[in-house]
Amino acid sequence: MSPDLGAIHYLGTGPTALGAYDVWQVYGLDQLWEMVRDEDGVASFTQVGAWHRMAELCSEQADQLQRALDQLMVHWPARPGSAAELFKLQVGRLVASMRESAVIAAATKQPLTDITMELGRAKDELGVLIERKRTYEGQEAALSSRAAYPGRGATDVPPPAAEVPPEGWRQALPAQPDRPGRTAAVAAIGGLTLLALLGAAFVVVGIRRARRP
Amino acid sequence: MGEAAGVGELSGGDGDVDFTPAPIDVNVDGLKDFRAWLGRELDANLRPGAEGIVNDHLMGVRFGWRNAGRQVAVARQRYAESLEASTANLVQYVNASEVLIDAILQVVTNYRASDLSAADSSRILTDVLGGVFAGRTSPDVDQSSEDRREQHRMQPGASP
Repeated sequence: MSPDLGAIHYLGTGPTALGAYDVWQVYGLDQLWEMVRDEDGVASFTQVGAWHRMAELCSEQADQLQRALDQLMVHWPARPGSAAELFKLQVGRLVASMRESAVIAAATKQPLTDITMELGRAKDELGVLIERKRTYEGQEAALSSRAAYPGRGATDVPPPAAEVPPEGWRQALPAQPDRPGRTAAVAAIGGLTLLALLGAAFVVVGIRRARRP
Repeated sequence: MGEAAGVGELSGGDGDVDFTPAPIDVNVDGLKDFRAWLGRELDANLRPGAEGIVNDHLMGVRFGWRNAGRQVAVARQRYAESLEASTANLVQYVNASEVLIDAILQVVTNYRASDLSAADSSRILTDVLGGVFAGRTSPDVDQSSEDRREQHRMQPGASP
């Protein structure tokens, strides 16, 4: 199963569709980690900067253009049916579209920042868990490789406590399928409630195109 | 700068024929100033600024690409649409500024070439502007202006 598609397949949209929490139960820690391990946020934060620059650029250009148009119109009055009126109308549309783009760009920064931060936190939290899991697995492997029956003269020295994984660690480790305590890990990767809100925020973000002057 | 020079208009009576300047609704110097300002603003700020932003937008959606959550998928889709629309808008703004520059050039050129009544001149200029804004190209467009547009024309490139 492709880890980047699974939950979407399971979720569905009908009344019998599984809830989000139920869906996430099919994933283990390793699969959850695969979902977030490449989230470094570099490109997304670069785009946060780009949205900021777009907001400033469009706002400034709209202001400048409106000022220049106003000055021109003082000496070239936009009488009804005149070329000046047509010119003013077209430039005015451009100005309005730029202002709209500025507002939209400014509104896009925060959702993108929040999503990137949330996924970064999920990566950090799951990184701790995956590291702990690997440590315990390594310790288990080391223990199992020890001779079960030491040869003659050997001393059966118990391994140091620090090299022995805690009893029942698999059950205790969050984000194992069908194990208790996985809620935190699922919340970490999903950030489901937040991301649902952020997804809604992107609806507001413009999909509008400037009309051609 | 002043109000546009006029073309002649016949007036008078009693057999007298006077030539009286009649103002045409075009402020040529003002338009030339506007065009020059627009060109400077385009080259110095709008185009380079837009290109940098578009380059960053063209990186596409770079979060949650392996995340199995439906909400993340929805957010990715909507963000992709936002990137695409904004990229198209920025390209459009640059192109629109170039259209305006061309439109003003044509207005000034046609004004100077005209030797018509004020009403006729105004109608012709309106037609010229309408044609340029509608995307028509006129044979009167300065070739250097066309070259400049072609040289700098921005394309949205691959969709994010």
